[in-house]
Amino acid sequence: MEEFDSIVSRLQRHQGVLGVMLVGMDDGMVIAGDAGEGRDSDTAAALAASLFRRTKAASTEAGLGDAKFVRLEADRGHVCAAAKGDIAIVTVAGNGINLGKLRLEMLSATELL
Amino acid sequence: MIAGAVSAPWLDAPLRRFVQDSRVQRAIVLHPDGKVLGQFGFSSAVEVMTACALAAAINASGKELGRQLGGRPFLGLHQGGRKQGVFMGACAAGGKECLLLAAFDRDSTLGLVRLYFAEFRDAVGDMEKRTEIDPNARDLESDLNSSLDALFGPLN
Repeated sequence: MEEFDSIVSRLQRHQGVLGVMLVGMDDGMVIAGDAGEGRDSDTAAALAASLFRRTKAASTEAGLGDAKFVRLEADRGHVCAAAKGDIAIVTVAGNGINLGKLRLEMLSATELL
Repeated sequence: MIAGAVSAPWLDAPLRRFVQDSRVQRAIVLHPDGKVLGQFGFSSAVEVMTACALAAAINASGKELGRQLGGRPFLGLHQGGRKQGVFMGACAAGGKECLLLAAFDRDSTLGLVRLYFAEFRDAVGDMEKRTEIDPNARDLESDLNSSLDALFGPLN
């Protein structure tokens, strides 16, 4: 669990990040972290895992191979997800975030899983 | 679209929504005594009968186990497999306890099922006086048979 907590802390330090969760891809449950203050982590985790699984399936079906990173852009921010194996890193971020840097950090964090 | 039927009309919309949103393969709602209220995805009365009997037994065992271990009954149950999972949760409709049993494959996840079960629980919880106890309530077997007849038609 310490490794998971350290991944969460590392990403939480990124400016503009509102919440970080490690989520089980198979069950959509939170392993570590949370979605941030005022957000229901269980709901966010379940929906983000579902989104990532479906995107992976769509990517594979389209002949593009495995999806590595998914970003959902919303009115007031972004939900980003990257996964390795059975675990997805899900980040909730505000509009002002440096998305390129966050993407790199999330992809590098997946290597620690 | 998964086919289903309900013997309690108030249950139709929430159960249908739960099945569609959570993408479970099968779902059944019953009273803890085994009386079925509605189902989606089951193809025969025998399947429903079996699911109801097992769900009622699991619920009784889980409640008692929860009482013995922590002093309070367990409120939910999940059995995970490599390809399929089963979830069972308790909810209240009109002040009476109901159970929802759902089976899902890799098209859904426990997280999603839990999420939409919470919505289902809220939806049926708002329905007052819709699950009044039948004044002519009979024994478990009679109740179950009449529920199954309502869902699938009389067995030959």
